[in-house]
Amino acid sequence: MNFGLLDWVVVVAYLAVSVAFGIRAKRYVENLDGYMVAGRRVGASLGIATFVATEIGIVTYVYFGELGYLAGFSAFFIGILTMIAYSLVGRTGFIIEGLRRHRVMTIPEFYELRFSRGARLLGGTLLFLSGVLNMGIFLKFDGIFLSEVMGYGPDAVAAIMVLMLLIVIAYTVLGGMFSIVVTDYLQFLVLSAGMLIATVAILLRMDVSSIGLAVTSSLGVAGVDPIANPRFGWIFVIWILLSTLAAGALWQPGTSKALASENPAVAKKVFFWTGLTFAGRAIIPMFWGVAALAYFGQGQESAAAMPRLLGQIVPSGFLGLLVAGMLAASMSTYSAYVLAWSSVLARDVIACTRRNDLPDRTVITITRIGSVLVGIFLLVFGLWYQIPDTAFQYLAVTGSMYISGALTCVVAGMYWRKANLVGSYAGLSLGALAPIGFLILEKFRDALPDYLLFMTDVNVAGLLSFLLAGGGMVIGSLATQRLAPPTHLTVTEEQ
Amino acid sequence: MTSGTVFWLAVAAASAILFFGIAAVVSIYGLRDLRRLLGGADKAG
Repeated sequence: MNFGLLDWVVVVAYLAVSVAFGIRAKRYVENLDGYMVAGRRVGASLGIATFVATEIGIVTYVYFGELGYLAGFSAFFIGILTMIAYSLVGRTGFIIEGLRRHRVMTIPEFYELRFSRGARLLGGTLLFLSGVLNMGIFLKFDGIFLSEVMGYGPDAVAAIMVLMLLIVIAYTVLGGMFSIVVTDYLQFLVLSAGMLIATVAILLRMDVSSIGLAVTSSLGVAGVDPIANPRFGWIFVIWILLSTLAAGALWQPGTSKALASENPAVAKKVFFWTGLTFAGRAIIPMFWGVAALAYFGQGQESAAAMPRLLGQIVPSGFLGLLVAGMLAASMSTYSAYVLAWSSVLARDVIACTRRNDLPDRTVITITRIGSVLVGIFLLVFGLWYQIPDTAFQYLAVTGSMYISGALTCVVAGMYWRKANLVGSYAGLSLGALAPIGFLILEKFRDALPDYLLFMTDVNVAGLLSFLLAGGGMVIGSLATQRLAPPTHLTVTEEQ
Repeated sequence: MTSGTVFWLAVAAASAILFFGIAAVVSIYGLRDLRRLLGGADKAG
C-alpha cells in the first residue's frame, strides 16, 4: 500500500474545497447563457486556465504515458503537432472567430444557420455519439491510474470509478458552466502542482541519461524516429495533423471555452496561449511513461506502468498532493465533457426533432438529465468494453467519427460559397463511415476477407474518414447545385 | 546517448518550461479574471 493517512487527509480536504466551490457557484447561474457558456464574460487568463484544465484529465496522463512506455521518445512528435495545430487556430482565428461571431453555443447550431435544421440534427447526433463513445473509456483509465498510484491494485478499479462519477455529476448538474469555470481555476492550480511533483520526483530518483539509454536499448531506432516506429508512420502523422487541427477548432468541450469568451479577440488569445501549453500537456506524461520503461523494462501492462512508477517513487504526503492534482484534472475534464455532450443532446438532437425551439428551462432540465444518463453510460461502457490498439488511437478514431465531417461542413460552410445541404449530409455521413466500420470490423478481424483487412488498421480508418468527408462535401455539393441551391450566412454580430 | 535522444530530451525540457511558465502567469492573472466574473454575475443576479 503506497497511500498513507497524510495522503488521505490531503485528498479529502481538496475534494471538500472543490465541491464547496462548485455548489457555491450555483447561485451565479441566472439563465441559459450562464448555464452553457458562463454568460460569455470569461477573460483571457481564466479562459486559458479552464481550457487547459478541461483538456487535461487522468485519462490524458494515462494515454500519453502509455504511448511513452510503448513508443519511447518517438511519441513526442504528437505533442509538437498538437501545439502547432492549436496555436495556429488561435493565431489565425480559423473557424473559432466565425463561430464566436455568430454567437452559437454548439457546433451543430452553425449547420442550421448555413445548411438546414436537418443537417443540425444529423451533425448533433453524430457529435453526441462520437463524444460519448470517446469519453466511454475515461472512467476506466482513471480507475486504473488511481488504483495503481495508491497501491490498491486492479480490485479497486470499479469502486474508484463509481466514486469519481458521483462527485463529478453532482457539481456539473448543480452548476453548469459557471461552476465549471470557477472550479476549473482551482483545479488548474492543483493539477499544475501535481504535474510538477511527479516530474521532480522522477528527475530526483532517476538519471536522465539512463532513461535515454533505456529507450534506445529497448526500442532501437523506433524509440526516437516516429516514421520508423511501426505504431506510427506517415499515414498516422498525416491523420493526426488533420485531426488535431480539426479538434483544435471544433471539439465541443474545448470550443465551448472559446464561445464563453468575452469577444472573438479574447477567444483567439485563449486558443493561442493554451496551444503553447499543449506540447507539455502531451510530452510531460509521455516522459513519465518513458521513465517507467527505463525503471521496469518492457512487459508491464502498458496503461498501468507509468502510474505504478509514480506510486513507487513519490514520497508519502506528496503522493496525496499528486492524487489531488490528478483528481482535479479529471473532475474539470468530466464536468466540461458531460456538460458539452448533454447540451448537444438537448439543443441539437431532442430540440431539433421539434418544429419550435424549446424554452430555456426545458433545455436546462434535459441537459441535467442528459448529464446523469451520460454518467451511467460511462460506468457501464468502461467496465465492459475492451479497447482496440492504444487508448490514444481509440480516442483519435472515435473523435474522427465527428470531427472529419464537422471540419468539412464548417470550413466549406464558412469559406466555400458552393457548399450546400446535400454536400453537408454527404460529408457528415461519409466522415463517420470509416471510424464506425473500424470499430465494428476490428472485432471480427480473424473472420474478414483479405480485401477488408485494411479497415482494421486504426491509422488507415482515421485518415480515410477525412478523405471521405471532404470528397462527400465537394462531390455532393457540385453535383446538386441546381437541385439544392446553396444558402448563405447573413448573421454578423459583434466584432 | 544518440543525437535523436538528446534532441527529444531538449524538446521535453523546452515543453516543460513553456507549460509551467504559462501556468504560473495564468495562475496570477486568472484570479483577477475570476473576481471580475463573479462580481459581474453578482450584479446580473
